[in-house]
Amino acid sequence: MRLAPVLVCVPLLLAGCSSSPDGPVEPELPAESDFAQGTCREAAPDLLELGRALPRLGDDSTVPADVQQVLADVQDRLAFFAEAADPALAGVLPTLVERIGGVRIRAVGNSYEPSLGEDLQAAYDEALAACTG
Amino acid sequence: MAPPLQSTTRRRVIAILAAGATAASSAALLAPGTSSASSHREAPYTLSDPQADNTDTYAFVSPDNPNTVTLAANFQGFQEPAQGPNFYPFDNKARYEIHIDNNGDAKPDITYRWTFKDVDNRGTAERGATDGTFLLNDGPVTSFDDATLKFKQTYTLQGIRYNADRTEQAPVALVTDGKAAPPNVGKASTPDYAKLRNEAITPVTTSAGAGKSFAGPSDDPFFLDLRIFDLLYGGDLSEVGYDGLSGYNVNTVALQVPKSLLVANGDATKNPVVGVWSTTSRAKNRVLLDNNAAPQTSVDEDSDTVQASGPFVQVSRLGNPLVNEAVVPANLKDFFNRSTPDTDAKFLPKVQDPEVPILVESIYKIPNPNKLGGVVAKRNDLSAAFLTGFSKDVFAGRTFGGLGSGVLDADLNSLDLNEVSPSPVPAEYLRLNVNVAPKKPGDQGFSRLGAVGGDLSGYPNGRRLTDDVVDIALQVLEGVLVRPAGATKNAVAGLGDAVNASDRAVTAAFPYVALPHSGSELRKGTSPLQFRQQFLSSGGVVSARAYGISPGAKGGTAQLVGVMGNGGLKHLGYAKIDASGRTTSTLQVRQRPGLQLTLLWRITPASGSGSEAVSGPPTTITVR
Repeated sequence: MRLAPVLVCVPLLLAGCSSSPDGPVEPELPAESDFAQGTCREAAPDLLELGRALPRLGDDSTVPADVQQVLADVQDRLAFFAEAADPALAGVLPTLVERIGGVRIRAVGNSYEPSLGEDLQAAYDEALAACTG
Repeated sequence: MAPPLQSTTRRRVIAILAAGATAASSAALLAPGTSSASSHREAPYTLSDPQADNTDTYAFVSPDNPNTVTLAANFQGFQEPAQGPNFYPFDNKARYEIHIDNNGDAKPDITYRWTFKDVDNRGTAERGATDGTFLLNDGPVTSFDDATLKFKQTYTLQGIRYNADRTEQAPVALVTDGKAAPPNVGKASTPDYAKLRNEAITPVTTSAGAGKSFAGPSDDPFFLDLRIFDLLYGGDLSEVGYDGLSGYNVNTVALQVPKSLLVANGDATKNPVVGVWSTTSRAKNRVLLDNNAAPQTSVDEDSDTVQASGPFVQVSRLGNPLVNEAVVPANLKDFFNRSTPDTDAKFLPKVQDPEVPILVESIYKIPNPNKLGGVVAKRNDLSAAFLTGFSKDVFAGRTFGGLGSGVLDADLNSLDLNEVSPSPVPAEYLRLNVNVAPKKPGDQGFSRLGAVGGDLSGYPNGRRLTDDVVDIALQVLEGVLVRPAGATKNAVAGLGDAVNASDRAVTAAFPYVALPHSGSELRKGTSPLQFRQQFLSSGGVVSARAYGISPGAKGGTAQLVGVMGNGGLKHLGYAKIDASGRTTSTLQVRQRPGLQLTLLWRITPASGSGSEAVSGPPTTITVR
């Protein structure tokens, strides 16, 4: 390591700074009835639950335990749907399940990176579009 | 179609882990538990024979003397520093060996053999003495030769070369009656242990020049969070980052010799790569004395209970770390330990289809890299890492029958780089290209992740004491070398156990292993002052905090310290400690992304608390 002269140390009191006082913005999500019949409609509750959890991934290396639990539960059920998904979701849902796994395995070790959340969000948006577009 | 119940995942995981020894052995990479670390107590036999248990092997170009190579092997892990009065001597009936293959036949061309002799002056009347004692020492010990050191060990180091028919040539004695460093009993018994350790560094004269030998206890340089098993469960590991081997010692043998001594024909230009592994061997026959048999009248190479005889056979083996844990099923671990590298092809199926990715897929639903794109493929990356090494010929499939093809197009550490061995045998051992310049922590380009982190002077090009082989292995097993670029590759590229260094920093000079913990130290869990530290980086800022600070530090302060490239320390800031045992503020260090910083917290209790200040382990983090 070369700390050397370029190192700048900025001690900061972070209390109250790590998260917005208002918390994460609630995402605008479609209604369950907006989901197409078939796999989409069956998976709608889980997709919506995932959609509500995504903004809470945050930008830190840690992910709240309750969010991790939501991811695990939702992933478990979405994986079940992915095994026999309608053609419109055949490629989308497995990708979504896989990216949830990428977030989970890093979150559980406190090495989560926001870019993984962005990848998950992209897969989620694609699934949502396939179901409600 | 009804979705499954939430508990299905957990039940499935439990079923997998309970399914049998094979699953459990695979999980051991992620979670050795107290029964296994790199290769600590990993096999049924070594559980019962801890003195013979070979835990880790290291081979690296000496950072302070790059014309030499340092070889080291560790034995008998999980040594509690205060465990007297016997402590943890080497077994005087075992052979501790490090082997070199420099012509690619996976058989030793050179063997360095350490054997130990007890110098036992504790005495009993039955053995002709009048003042028997149970203590290792009956006064302070300031020198190996002090009369107060009642029990000690000397050793012989032999260098052995082989005839064409594989018989051993006459051994060359490199060290005779060498001093094995005694245990670090405690501050009353061994007040200047560093001096005692230095006495145990013995000069060696070889045909190629001067070298050094060492035998004795050291801090176990292996590091990992033993609780990582819970990660596999998906449990709450909000406090990952605890080195489960911190505070424990291990027995080390180490040798530094000119690199020209190790390479084929003494020519490192034409033959730069050597294979390295270590073993422990025992006499084949062991006889226990009868009930009520009288004490033996003399102390010789037999103990008072066991008499050994017959040819020596191999009982423990170590090349690459974690292989006998993460790759070899439980019921084959003893078999692996007595196998020789030239027969390793039989383990190929286990290497190419490891079980850890299967478990990870079951739990996290990250597809097993063995079937990327829906095609079940051999894991050539694992073949290359464990069995062939990396070279352009390996990459092109021109050697080793195509094992390892297409993984890394670089001439790094395959023995097919040697002029003498164009068609080497696949074998599980460390491979070191002695011509790659060494890097140590603080050097430009150093990475604890070795070649995976872009630092070709580290594992799997040999193995340095500072290489984070758990994180490397986890990432490689999960396919970081073979997955296509994208989200999943990014996810597995950051896997790890959050323990990035040993609790004690390696030393700058031979034997490099840190001094052993003293018996006076209180191990974690009994110490009045414990804490955890966390360093996170994002946006060019490293955020540092300490937490889980034991009540003994109440009212004290926490100091953030940077470790400089030269090993010096730099004060970076203070934080107070709140009643819940956390720093009241998170300190931030701003730096350019990509730079590596080594940081630690030092906790100082309030004056009058009776507790002593303690420092966390130096932790290297890459600024993101």
